[in-house]
Amino acid sequence: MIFCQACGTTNREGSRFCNQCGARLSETADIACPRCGAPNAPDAQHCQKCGLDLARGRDDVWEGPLPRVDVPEEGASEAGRRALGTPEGGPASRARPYGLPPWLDSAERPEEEASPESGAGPLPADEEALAPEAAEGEWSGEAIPIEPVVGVPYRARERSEQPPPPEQREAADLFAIVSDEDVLASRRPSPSEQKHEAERRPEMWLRLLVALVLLVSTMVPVLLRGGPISAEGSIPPPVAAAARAVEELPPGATALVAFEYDAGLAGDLQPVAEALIGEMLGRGLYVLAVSTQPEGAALAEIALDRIRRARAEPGMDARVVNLGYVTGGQAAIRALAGDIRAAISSDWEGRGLADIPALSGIGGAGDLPLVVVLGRDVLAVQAWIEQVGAPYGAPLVAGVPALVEPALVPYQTSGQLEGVVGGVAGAAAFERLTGRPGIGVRSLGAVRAGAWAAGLLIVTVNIGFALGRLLRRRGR
Amino acid sequence: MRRILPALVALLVGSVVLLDYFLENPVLNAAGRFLLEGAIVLAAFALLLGLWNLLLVHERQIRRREPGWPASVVILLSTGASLALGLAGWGSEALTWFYRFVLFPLEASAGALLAFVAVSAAARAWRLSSLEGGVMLAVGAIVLVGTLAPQGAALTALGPLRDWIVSVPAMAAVRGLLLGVALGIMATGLRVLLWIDRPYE
Repeated sequence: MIFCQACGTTNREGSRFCNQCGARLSETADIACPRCGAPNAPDAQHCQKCGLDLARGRDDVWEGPLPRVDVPEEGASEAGRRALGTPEGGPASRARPYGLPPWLDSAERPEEEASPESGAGPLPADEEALAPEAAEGEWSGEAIPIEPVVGVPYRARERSEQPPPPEQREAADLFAIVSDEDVLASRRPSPSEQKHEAERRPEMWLRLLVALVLLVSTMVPVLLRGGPISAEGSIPPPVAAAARAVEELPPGATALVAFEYDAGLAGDLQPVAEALIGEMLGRGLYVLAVSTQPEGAALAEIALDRIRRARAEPGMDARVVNLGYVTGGQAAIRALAGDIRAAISSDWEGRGLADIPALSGIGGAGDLPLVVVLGRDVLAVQAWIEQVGAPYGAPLVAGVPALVEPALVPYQTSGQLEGVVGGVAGAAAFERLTGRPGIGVRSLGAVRAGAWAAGLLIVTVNIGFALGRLLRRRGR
Repeated sequence: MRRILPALVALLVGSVVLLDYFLENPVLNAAGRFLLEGAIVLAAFALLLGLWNLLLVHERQIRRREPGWPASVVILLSTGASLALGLAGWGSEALTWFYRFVLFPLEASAGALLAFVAVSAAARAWRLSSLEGGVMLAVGAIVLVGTLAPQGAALTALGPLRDWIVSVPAMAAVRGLLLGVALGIMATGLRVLLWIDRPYE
């Protein structure tokens, strides 16, 4: 086997010219590379296979002349095996004599596999430093060198700027349209939604009808100051009992009024407050207002202010006192019942309690001859019954929204409440009974008209539903 | 200790206040009064804490631009305005004006909406489709119209009927409810005093 010095092609023994490039072949024997065993020309400076500096290699490794290699025709790898037979102490003799299986021997080298498209281009400097120096090369029967710990990646191939396939572009366009679209505005309702919407339409019209009827029925009496609707009517027994409880108090006595409601219920309870307090003042009583609700003190001030202005009597400020808000819920009520001065130090306007004549001779709310509770619900009244009425025996009258009144009847019939005034209707009845018509009587027309309109609506709608059901059955 | 101490405090305080309610004893009554005053002070602090928490929650909502944050701005501004108004002139005309012309109409309007909702709900709920629905419809109509029937009108006859409904069947039902609630409150109170329930933990 003779190697061409020009192109490195192996040529048959005895060849004079390279069968690949046509160069004249040297007849001298080749020398084997001490590292990979590849045959090289006698005057070669570097190994044609692994690139080893053959001159220095000879100096460093092998002092004697490089061994001659008789390369058989079977393949280059056979040269390595033959190199094992070189003189003792040579570099190849230190290698382990493992054989190479034929399938691996005939396998292509990785360098030959790497095509330009595979991305195996020149490495950057940092990656070059990691590259194994002499791991490649034709296996010469030595131990297979250890793989580098850090692999050198192939350079990623740059992606070409090719347009996306039509189906991808279509999908992207569709996504853009959908994501930009106002779905709620443009989406067409499904058939089930259309059916649901159709079913809801009568309810919507019903609500609108209710709103209109109630608005007209309440506004007309207000604008006509009562109009054709009379404020007369029977006096409910709980209202009559409440009026008796006030009537029985001697002039100069002090009554406590607890404002335990918020502004949402003021429409129903302010007339009650004004009717009861107006009657008390008319009978020469002193009135103390207090609240355990944050809004109660301000609502009390509004009611008391209206009463003061309506009566326009001298000394009214001393007879009607707003003690303000006390925190603590039931604990505050209990404290007030035991000792008002322990729970409150000044009134709404900041006056000390010692300056309030209505409080002279009074220790706690339990000592008072009458306590009026204007409660938003049953629980508000219950708290005063439990903390003031039951332990101290103070007479209690409740003013509540009309909705709550039936729930307090058991307390009234059992004697825990002297009387109950329910809503605007109760206030109007109280005013008629005491002969002091006020906001209750004036508001009753609107309330009555609204209630009748509501009752009429309920009955009418029921008749309408019943007729509709009947017609549907006949239709089937 | 962390569990026992609160329980002992609850047991002691609850027992003293309960005994103060039933017994006439100067020492017990004084102790009960002292504890009640403490409860009032604590409630005032709880109110302040609630206000502080409200401010923190809405400040965070504004800072994070959470949904509805403009409403939080309004809440904070309103709270600040009413607080300043109250602190500057407690009991003054300005605070009364604020209640009378801002808070009162707003809450009264919201309360008035209940009438619309209640009537439209009643119109749909009280239907003659069943016996129960028919009974509800009849009772509701009688109580509604009977409460507000004018003197001398044809509907005045509904007044006594309405009074009977309220004072007999309705009162029986309400009494049952009230007794049940009272028993429930007693049982809850005893469970707390006997250390079975510990809501303060």
